[in-house]
This record gives sequence, structure tokens and C-alpha cells, in this order.
Amino acid sequence: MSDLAQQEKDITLLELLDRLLDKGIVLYGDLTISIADIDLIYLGIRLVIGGMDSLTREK
Amino acid sequence: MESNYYLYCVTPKNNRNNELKLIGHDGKEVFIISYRYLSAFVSKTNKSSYETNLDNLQLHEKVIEQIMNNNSVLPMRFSSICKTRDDVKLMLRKYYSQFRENIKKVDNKVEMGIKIFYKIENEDYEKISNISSGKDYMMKRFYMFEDWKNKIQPVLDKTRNIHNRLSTKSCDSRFTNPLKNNLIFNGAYLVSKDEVDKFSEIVSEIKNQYTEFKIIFSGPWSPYNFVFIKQAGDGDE
Repeated sequence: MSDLAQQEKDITLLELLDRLLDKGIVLYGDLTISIADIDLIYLGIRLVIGGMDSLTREK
Repeated sequence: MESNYYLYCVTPKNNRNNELKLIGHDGKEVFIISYRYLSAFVSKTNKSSYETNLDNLQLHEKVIEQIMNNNSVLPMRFSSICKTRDDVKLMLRKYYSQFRENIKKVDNKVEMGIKIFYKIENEDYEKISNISSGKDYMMKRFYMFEDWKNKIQPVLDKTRNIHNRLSTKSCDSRFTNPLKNNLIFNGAYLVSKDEVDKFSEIVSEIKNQYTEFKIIFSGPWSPYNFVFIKQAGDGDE
């Protein structure tokens, strides 16, 4: 995958993580049984930030 | 056997939605469970959680985007799962008035996102790096902090100007200045559907004006940043 395509993917992932895991309607406890896997979320964010760093340095 | 229900979003009940043919997680059909004037969009699953990866996140978002075309949508957080059909109904009942209030607020509106990246170069205080005492070390930390503070303030002022301009074309807004990993501003704007073009024009102007920033513009999203449910929903019943 080219750097540009990877960056686009990273940006998409960052935008999705930012909303789908951190915002939106969440009902803890009695009715819903699942909140997404926390360890994986952090791993994802670190990967994304690496991409962002190279993206800003390019300028 | 699939006995659990994966939740995508809540919308006002609309009979035309029965014609939507949507595919959710694991290729399962998305269908509607309604209570009074509200509908929850769900698909059956045998899982109790979903792995956080790009494909799964995109699928959740894609389903919501398709529903959003014809409905006011309250998006659920990723990997929200109910055990039974009755639990889905109970959720709609328990939070009924809160859902209705939220729908009123976001009706005919979408969320637009702005992220601003900027790298702040820190002076290297090598001249006092020859640390021989705790005091030298503290002085070095102090100078580095002062330097960073002096550089960051004008940058934050600029992001505040940008935010103010964007706020004039939005019904509601949220922002933070994370100041981490070069992300200096993270903003979300609730924009009327018929104002999206104007809002985008302002973003283009801002991009041309602030070429020192890397500005990521995204949307239209369902209003993730503008839906709020108080957990003590018992009073709704």
C-alpha cells in the first residue's frame, strides 16, 4: 500500500474511532452487554497517530 | 444460533423504513424493532462483542449512513448489543422521552468534523543539558515549559478564530484542544442539511487562509457528538 493510501486509511480510522467508540448513545449496565474491547482501541489509536505524525512532517 | 441483537441506531418510526434492505455485521439482515413512535435498527448476532477494526467500524457507520438518508438518526456506540428482543424494546421504553428530545434536537441536521494538526517545534535547551544538580534539571524543565507555552498560545488563538467562524453556520458545536500527537484542535458542528454547502465553503476559505495547519474536514456524519442520554432513565417509564 502506498504511503498516501495508508494515510487516508489512518485518517478514516481516526475519525471513526473518535466517534464510534467515544461518542454516540451508550447504555451501560442493564440492557446492553457489550462495550468494545479497550486494549484494541488503544492499539488502534497509536497506529493512527504514527500516520498523522508523518503526515504533518511532510508539509 | 444467533440470539443477540446488535444495535445501530434509533430513529422516529417510519413505515417506509420497512423497505430498506440493509446488510449488517456478519452479512446479517438489518431489521427494525419498534416501540410507539420509535424504531431501533438491529441485526441478529451470536457474538457478545465486536473487535475494533477498520472493517467493523466502517460497517457500523455504513449502515447508519444509509438510514440517515431518510431519517433523523441517533447513532449507537460501536458494539452495543442486547441479549433479547424484549431488551431492545425495554431500552426504547426506558429512554423514550430522552430519545424523543434528542431526535428533536438533531432533526434535519448532520455533524461535520474539523481536526487541525500542527507540529510545535520545541527549542532544545542543550546549553543546560549538562545537568549536575536537581536545580539544573528543574530549570531546564521550566524553560522548556515556558517556551512551549509562548508558542502554543498564538496557535490556540488562531484555532479559536476558526471555531468562531464555523460556529456562525452551525446550530451547536463542541471542541477540544487535545495538544497531543500534533492534534491541536478537534471540533464537531451540528449543521442544518441545507447549510452544509455554505459550511463547506467556509472550511475551504479557512484552509486557504491557514496554510500552516493541516486541516482534516469530514462529514456529513450522524450526530455522534450531539446525542446525550442520562443513565437514570427510570423516570421515563
